[in-house]
Amino acid sequence: MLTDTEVADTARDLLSDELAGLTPPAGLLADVRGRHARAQRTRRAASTALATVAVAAVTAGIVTAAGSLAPRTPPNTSAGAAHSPAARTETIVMDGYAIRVRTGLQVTVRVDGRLTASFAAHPVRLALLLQGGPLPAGAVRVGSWQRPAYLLNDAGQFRLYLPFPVADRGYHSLVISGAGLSKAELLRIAAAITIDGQPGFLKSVPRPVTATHCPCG
Amino acid sequence: MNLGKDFDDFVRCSSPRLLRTSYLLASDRGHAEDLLQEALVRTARHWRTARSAPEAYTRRIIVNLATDRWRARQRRPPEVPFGEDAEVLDSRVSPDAGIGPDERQLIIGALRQLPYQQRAVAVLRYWDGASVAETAALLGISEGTVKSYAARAIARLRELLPDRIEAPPC
Repeated sequence: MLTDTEVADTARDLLSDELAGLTPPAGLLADVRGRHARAQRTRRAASTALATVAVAAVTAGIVTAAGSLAPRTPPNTSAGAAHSPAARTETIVMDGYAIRVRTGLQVTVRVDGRLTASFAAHPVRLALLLQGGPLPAGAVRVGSWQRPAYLLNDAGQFRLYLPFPVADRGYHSLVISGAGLSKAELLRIAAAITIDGQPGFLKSVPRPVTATHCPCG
Repeated sequence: MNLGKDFDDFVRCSSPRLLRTSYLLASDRGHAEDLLQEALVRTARHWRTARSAPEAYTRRIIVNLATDRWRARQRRPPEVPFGEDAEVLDSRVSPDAGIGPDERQLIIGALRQLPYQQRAVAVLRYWDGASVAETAALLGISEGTVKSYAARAIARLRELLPDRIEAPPC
């Protein structure tokens, strides 16, 4: 009977060759540095925006200059009505749309002014689900690539940054979903996506998007 | 904070080891690469703090992220293995490695079958060479629990790999 240490050593030896062949993806350092630089820029922009919001809140009478909440505006006034439930945009349950893409590191999304504002208000609600690679017969790829996208405002455009080299892995489809965004908004986002200048190809996929057959497989 | 050459050197030197740890914890090459990249980004964010022991700092983040992922997966539909890892790794292992792809998959499969906490303890203790105290600190559990998980993990590996792990002939 082998001791526990010997069992562990045996298992480790059996895997040592396999683990030795495991190398980090090319471009890892560049990706890390890129994400770090973007995060720094975002934090700086956020702190500026926060200061602006604070000043605006004082100006609008929401908070006092000392930082405490000002008395609430009665809901039957015009200022209160703007925040009533009836004035909020109604959203529907999210759908997923697969966009056939030529793989690349960055996806550029062009949106009009209204949608831009919506994006800016809810940046974390957009998620990406990458799928792809050749599926073995009968296999099901359940979404494991869902992650927040990195949204960068670049002179009227938003860039969705995919923080890893997609092309290296051969992923060939992209599903966007937006919890809280309306179906119409999702459709417009999907329609606006271009990859290397080519428009995306729209295709409905069954819900839920996190547990679906690969639409391209 | 701007990152200097020391960060680049750290990434180049340590990322293969850290990727192996990620892979053993996540049991999926794609997730392992994601864990590593996310951990390195967080390390970069706190480089001033992390630079004294960056590998330990990053390994801690990887373990935390792997634990978060494991918890999140409990609330999601089960994932079906893609089979991609086997293909990718088979193509990278030299043909004279002496171990067939079936056996490697058997071991990877055995590791995957371990409950997450046991797998994490086994990986940290036996693949990363962390001490009982270090493993306990990394996982936020007591040393006694580490010993218990390690013993259970080894016992389970012994059950799952009866042909590969057997006493040598007298």
